[in-house]
Amino acid sequence: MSPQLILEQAVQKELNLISITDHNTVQHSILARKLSEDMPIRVIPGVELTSREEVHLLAYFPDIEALLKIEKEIDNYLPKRKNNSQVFGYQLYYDLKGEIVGVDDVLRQVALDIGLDNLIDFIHSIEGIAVPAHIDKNRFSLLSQLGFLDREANFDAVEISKFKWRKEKFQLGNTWSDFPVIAGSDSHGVEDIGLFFMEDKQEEIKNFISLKDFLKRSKQ
Amino acid sequence: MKLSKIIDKCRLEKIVFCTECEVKTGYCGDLMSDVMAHAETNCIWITIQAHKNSIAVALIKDIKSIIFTNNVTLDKEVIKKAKEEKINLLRTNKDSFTVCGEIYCMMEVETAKD
Repeated sequence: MSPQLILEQAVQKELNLISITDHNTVQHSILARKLSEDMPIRVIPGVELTSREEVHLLAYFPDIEALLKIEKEIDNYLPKRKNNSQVFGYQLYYDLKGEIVGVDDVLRQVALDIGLDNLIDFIHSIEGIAVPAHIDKNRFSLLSQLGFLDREANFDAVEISKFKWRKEKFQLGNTWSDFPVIAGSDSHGVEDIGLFFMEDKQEEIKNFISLKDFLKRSKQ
Repeated sequence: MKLSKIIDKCRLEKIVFCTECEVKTGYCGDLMSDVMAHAETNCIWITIQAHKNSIAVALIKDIKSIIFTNNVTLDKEVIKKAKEEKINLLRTNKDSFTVCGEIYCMMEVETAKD
């Protein structure tokens, strides 16, 4: 999925604010941010990280500079192994126009060698937001790996699957164990884009800053 | 079997050793939800999961001793919490398979004696 295709589709589906959070890689999130400057849509730089405990953690950032800092951490903590394309598929690099320009042969579907709490501290040190991903799922989630939600933990929000969001009729501003709840479309193909989104009825979340403020306010 | 015997025979590093105890059974697992569901109380727990939630899981399950394998790094906070809660923390550079095998064999011998 090229960033260009994702953005076109998102604009067509009238989404206002999106984030591309690939696994342990940021290049397409950077491209999407750049592309969005000339399009009627806002993009929050983001990534989905895997901590040492194999907890998937979403991280959102104010700008590309911060994303480049987290990329450095990823390079530091990712084991130097080659991707097996037969198992995990080809990891293609696209350019701004949506042309394939290369293949990423680094194994990314593995854990970074850094613990969850330290990873979150680093994200905070570069002004980012840290959100454990799909905590209601029984794989690679905070609850499956670490058993329960520590109310003292320093997450800015928790993410649940879109299925749970719909089933329990969650809305922006709701909380789970005192943490603000968010959900994403978790689109893995272009056809998924726009099928799920969170509705911002007050129209107060326009960009990273307002998202961060909103989550801070929602946290009890 | 006495914990100190396991520490001795398996040559475990004592990170926190606060209480001697009798070990009758063990459990090996790295997913906390699995450990909470399946580990027996009072067992010795073998894991690579060095997050501080491990201590909480040990408390819930009345697990007195945890062996961390593969020489995983333990944060200060984990050690501090273990001291407060009187949970023994042991560590080894061996992997979980090896340590489980060693302890299992020792337990078999003990049971045979009885």
